[in-house]
Amino acid sequence: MTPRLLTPTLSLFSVSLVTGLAIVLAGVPGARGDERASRQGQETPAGNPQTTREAEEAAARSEWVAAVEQHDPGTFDDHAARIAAWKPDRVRALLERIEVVLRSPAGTRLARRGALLHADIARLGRAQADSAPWAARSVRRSPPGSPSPEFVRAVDGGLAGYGSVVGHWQFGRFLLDSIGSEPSREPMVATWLRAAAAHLAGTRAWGDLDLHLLEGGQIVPGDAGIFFFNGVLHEAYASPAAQGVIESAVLPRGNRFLIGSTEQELREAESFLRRALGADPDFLEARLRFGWVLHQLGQHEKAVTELRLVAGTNGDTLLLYYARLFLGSAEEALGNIEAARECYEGAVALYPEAQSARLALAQLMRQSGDRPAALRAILQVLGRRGVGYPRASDPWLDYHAAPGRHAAALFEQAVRACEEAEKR
Amino acid sequence: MNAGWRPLVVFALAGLALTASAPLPPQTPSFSTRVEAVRVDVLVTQGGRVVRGLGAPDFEIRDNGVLQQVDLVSFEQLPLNVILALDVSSSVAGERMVHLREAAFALLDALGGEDQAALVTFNEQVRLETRLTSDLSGIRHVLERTIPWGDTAVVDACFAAMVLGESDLGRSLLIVFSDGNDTSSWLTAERVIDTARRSDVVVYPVSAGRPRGVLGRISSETGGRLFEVESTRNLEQVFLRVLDEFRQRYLVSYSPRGVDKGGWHRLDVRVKGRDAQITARTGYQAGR
Repeated sequence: MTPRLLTPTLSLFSVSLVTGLAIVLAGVPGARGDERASRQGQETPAGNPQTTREAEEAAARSEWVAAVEQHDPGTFDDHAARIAAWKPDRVRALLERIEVVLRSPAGTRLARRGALLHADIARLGRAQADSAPWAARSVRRSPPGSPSPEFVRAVDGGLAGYGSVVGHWQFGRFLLDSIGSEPSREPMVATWLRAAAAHLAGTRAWGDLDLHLLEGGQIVPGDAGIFFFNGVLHEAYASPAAQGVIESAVLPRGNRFLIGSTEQELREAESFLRRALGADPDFLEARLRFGWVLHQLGQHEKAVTELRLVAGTNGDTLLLYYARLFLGSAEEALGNIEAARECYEGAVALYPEAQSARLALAQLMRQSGDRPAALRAILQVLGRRGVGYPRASDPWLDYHAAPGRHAAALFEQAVRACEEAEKR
Repeated sequence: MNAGWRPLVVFALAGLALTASAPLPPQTPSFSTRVEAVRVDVLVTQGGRVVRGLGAPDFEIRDNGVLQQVDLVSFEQLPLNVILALDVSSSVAGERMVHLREAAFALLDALGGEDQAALVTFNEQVRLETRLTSDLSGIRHVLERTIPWGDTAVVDACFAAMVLGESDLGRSLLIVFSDGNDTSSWLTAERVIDTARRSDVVVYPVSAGRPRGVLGRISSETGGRLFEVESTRNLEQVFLRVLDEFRQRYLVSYSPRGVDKGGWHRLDVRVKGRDAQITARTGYQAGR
């Protein structure tokens, strides 16, 4: 049986050790179900604290159920706003009390719709509070005895503060895990988990994504999408942005980063992406990243093989840009200069304003001794005075967050899956 | 021209002012004589002080271990090409930007009438704000309007600035300032370090606050020097010190003899009869 998400962390902690990572999860009280439910019907004196508490709990339950039933998925409506205003502990306590109900056939609808509600709170309700995506990076630390996972927030590669896990993703996972005896067989579950992963990757919330994938992977083991996003996460951990924070940040005593070296993280990424392709050999974006990781690990010939498969498709322009850029780099590493040049020029043709492709060409020209050509290559974009280029003009700048572009569509797919399930 | 040697021009001591006003710089100088030679920009210090007054006979250069005949040593105030590559990412916001701006202005004020300057700014994107020019007003104007934001692509910036510095045949000094780790460059450190090994530009990185592995390696490959500062308050003094030190470097030239014409050539520069410290590039790539 899948470990429960809101119980003490012992089982998940041991899983974490097996995978080589240590993580402290939310230390939530372990009471299952609602003990007070067994005393329903007992009369108690008016004004009794127990009566008051029961009334409050009943009111909370009613309010939450009403919000779930009336919420318009994909929006941050008044119902979502009402629940978003609750303290996380209140939501957590409620879900624990009604767990038995959620697991019953009658509770399945609530579980599905509740997951959609909490996802909308997490991704839409926090939008105003978050700083610009490019300014925030989060990696994970583990303060001893912390009741909740702590994450480092970084700006421009430097330590900027600390934050905790957003509870609403966790609530959503808990609700999905309550659906039926095998949640993984429910189409909505995997879709929701992938959608949430995409959103977290797109907003560079790596610490949240880390926890999400750890728990989500237990709900849908063997899912290609979860493997893929694990690959995305470890690529991000291997990046200079994350490694720079680890190198320069000074954590309080007793805390430590739970991120390996560049090579260690790349090997983790390689492993997960390989599994993603094993589960879904047609997963083009996984193959692209797999090839790029192989290249960074020095396996250039294998990288070329993988990247050529992506570069030869007629698909997503963004993926093609990456494929040509990465393939050019791999060809260059193998000394295939002409092939590298063609790849870089192909990338320039797709995104003419992108600096990355121009710099790649310029560096290749410079390496070949053609200084004027190198200068021309970069002047065409870098040298246009007074012209500011939006970040979107260069896909390389958003490579790690690129899977986030799928989030909206995946959430729509999850809503449809929910509606289809309700018709059955 | 022998493709085996990097084609260079021997400077006449009368001085040579090259302009960079054309879209692409001229590939030949304005006088008719041109020979192929290797030039090495050398700083000589002893006990922390710059050693002056040295001539060709004082230098000993070995090219791949083979002793060479030094043809020319210049210590004159030759016109300089100064490229400023300045970090304007979000970590430079506030007081740091003020100090950086002041330091850049002070450096520009210290340039001579025949010197040229260029400005590269970078955050997650690199901008060649101005090409090499003796009209410095444009550089000042850009710096006054610059507002720091974004991530840091210092590796990409170093590459672009070196390429820009090579667009003119004068003595090129690249001052790179950054206070952050690289977080968004496309080019790898290894490829840019390899570019530095082949470049004529002497790179002086100025680093504030964080480890500077790649910048240190670039500076050592080009014969420059890394300055690490804990605070940007004295950035102006650092920039001026860099400029002053660069002006006091020797430009040592020789025509390679007795060595293979292609490939990487390791350089070993010494001053005869002195226990002097030599700061010079580690070698050059013949043919590129």
